[in-house]
Amino acid sequence: MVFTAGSALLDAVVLSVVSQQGTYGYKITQDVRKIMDVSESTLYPVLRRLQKDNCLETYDMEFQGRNRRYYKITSNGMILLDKYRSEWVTFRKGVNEILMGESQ
Amino acid sequence: MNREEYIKQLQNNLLSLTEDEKAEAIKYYSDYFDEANDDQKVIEELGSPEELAKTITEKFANALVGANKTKSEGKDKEENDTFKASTQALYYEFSKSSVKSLYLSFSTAEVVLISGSKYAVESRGIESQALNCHLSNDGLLTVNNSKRLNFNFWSHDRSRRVVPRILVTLPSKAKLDKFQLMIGAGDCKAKDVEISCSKGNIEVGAGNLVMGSIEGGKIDFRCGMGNLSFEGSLKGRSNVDCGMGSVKLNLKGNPLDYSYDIKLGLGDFKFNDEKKSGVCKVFNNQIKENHLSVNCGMGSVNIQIG
Repeated sequence: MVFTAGSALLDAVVLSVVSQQGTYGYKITQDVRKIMDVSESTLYPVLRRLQKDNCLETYDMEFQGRNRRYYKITSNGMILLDKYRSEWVTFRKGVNEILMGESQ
Repeated sequence: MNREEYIKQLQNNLLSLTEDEKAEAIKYYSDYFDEANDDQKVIEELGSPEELAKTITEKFANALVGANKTKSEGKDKEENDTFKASTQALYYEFSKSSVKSLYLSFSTAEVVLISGSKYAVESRGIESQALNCHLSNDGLLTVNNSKRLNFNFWSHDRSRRVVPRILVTLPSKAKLDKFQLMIGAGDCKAKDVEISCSKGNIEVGAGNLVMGSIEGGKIDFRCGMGNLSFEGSLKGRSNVDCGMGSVKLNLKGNPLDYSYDIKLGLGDFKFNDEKKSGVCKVFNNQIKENHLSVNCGMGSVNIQIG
């Protein structure tokens, strides 16, 4: 990808991925990497930071005889995600206007 | 490298994290290996364990700076709960060029010195008033926690242990005029730092200190009941004082460039292959360029050169 994504956008994408369903580290990494060019090693610090800021929670659930650690979004996280979403709408509109010549 | 080796090396490189955080990170990456089901591919993607550990710890440091900002906003609330305030993480940072001398003095704490790109001090489980971190106009960076700490080391609900923990980052290959490090009853590890100093002072009370790669001028060592292990080089006349503790110096260079004199009580002394024990005194008239003056009570001093 030629565009580099800032940490806020990465946070927003991670929150959104987790908000859709309880999911686990490896799957989050794969989902995020489908659309963003981030290295595998950066996802853990992001998850941990969001967890520390009370935006994500973890719980363990058995999967094929072992405990898999799942992440889920908290109400704090939902508020933050909403904020990111509205910021994104404004940002996307502005970029589209200039870059694509769209005016509304 | 297989998965077990990778996880083990990662664990060994996460020095600056608390046990809980370390366990959390290890759990995450073990899960990751399980899910991916292709160990070699994961190892390739994650990069070396050292680099991965660096990414994890660096991102944590950034998160701590963030935590500090929110702390000042909600200050009123936290002042009512002194314990919460005491577990706040603190973070200070200084540029490489601004620091000329270093004075580190810790009473009871777990201290880790690591190598980085600037000077930084990070703490957990310490009240902000108890940690003094200050850079004077003439470039002396002082870090100490000599004020009495919470010796209980338990959180108020007794659910977890809070050991005062301090992480100090020193720029790699930093050149200092004076380097002073004093440990009371704590534990200090500095295996990976690489610094040079023209004058130094290293003291251990009852603690444990491991230092690596210090290129020193004259460094004086004092060890009460603790354990002091040092690797690096010395120049000029250095003093080694050891009470009941154990001092181990691994010095680079040619043994022929070093001379020593010793006053020994009931302790043991070893200088390369020369061994002395019991009450003795050795004077040396042939003082060479690098000289060690050793005074040992009941402890043991082991000096290896080469």
